[in-house]
Amino acid sequence: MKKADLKPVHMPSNSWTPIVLAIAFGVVGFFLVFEWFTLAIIASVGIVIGLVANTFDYNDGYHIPVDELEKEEREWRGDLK
Amino acid sequence: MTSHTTPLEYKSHQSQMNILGFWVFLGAEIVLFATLFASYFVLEHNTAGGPGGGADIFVLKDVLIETFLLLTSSFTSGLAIHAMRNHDKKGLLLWMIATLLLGAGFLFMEINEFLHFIHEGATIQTSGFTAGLFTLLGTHGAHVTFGIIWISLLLVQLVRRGITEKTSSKLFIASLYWHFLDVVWIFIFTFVYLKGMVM
Amino acid sequence: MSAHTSRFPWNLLVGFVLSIALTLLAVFVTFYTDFSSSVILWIIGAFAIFQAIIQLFMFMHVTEGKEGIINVINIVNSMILALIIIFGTIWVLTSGHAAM
Repeated sequence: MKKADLKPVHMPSNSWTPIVLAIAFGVVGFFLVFEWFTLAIIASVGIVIGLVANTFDYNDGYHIPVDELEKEEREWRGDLK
Repeated sequence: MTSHTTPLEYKSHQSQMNILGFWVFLGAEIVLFATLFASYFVLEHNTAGGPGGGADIFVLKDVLIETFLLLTSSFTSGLAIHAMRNHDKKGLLLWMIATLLLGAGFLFMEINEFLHFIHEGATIQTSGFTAGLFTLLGTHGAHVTFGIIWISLLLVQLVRRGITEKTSSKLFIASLYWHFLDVVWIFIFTFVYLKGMVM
Repeated sequence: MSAHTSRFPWNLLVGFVLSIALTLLAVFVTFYTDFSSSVILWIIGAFAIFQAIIQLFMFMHVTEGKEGIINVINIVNSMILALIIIFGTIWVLTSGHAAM
């Protein structure tokens, strides 16, 4: 690949909200299936925290620059020239 | 589109992608509600000796009030986006608060309606008909509840940050969601309430 | 692409008035006409679809933005899926196939 073809790659930043939301939704769903409403309400606090944290998170991620892409690609191919 | 006429919410590439992604999500929501409508239509006549829909439990006056509340809230959220595109922060805030109040009024009416159904002996476990009905209406009501919380949180950000590329795209997406809920309600109104009362 | 000018939002007002009018018309057709119930269902169904189209175009500006045509294709695709799901389910569960 020629260098001219490479473009910076957009990457999302690390975040704890998606995993917390995924687990919380699963747990709340489990409790709702068995109608354990008290536990479901307690677990749904996790959903609320995750959603609120997520909406106030203004981090748009970052870009991997072309130089770094080229360097990494070359190393992975074992082409160290 | 030339750049000086592009609305603020479409300015950055990220916002454009977010709006496009939300349209794809709305497509998935259409399919979700289609499955709920399908199961309701299949179960509609399986009343298991309980109340049989239509004139038995539906109250036209209450349903009309709910419909007008939601239609008006859709209109006010449209006005809010119009104000946003004129960079009118105060107008945006006021119309969005009006939208939230109308949405809360709708929820109040719907909860009362559910209590009325239960009072008439139609709980979610009574029959296939009531299970389908409560699931369809409840899913729509849960969406409205979520939308109210969502827009409230966005308004906090609007007050703190003003109308920026990011807040405008967030509010625009929330308004799309709100209009979508109105579209779903139109079909519930027609094919659940009116159909139930005429058949 | 005209909704962001400072003029009065006529398209919103027209959409709102039309939705209210269509809702009231649907109620009128349902309770105050003598059509058979299947004819009534077709008429109010057409009103509902017309009202949904009003919302999509006048309120949600579905054709707006660089990806306008993609939005339209996506929504049309979802509506086709919805129709297949609804009518397919009713057909397969009411015409005896499920009983075999």
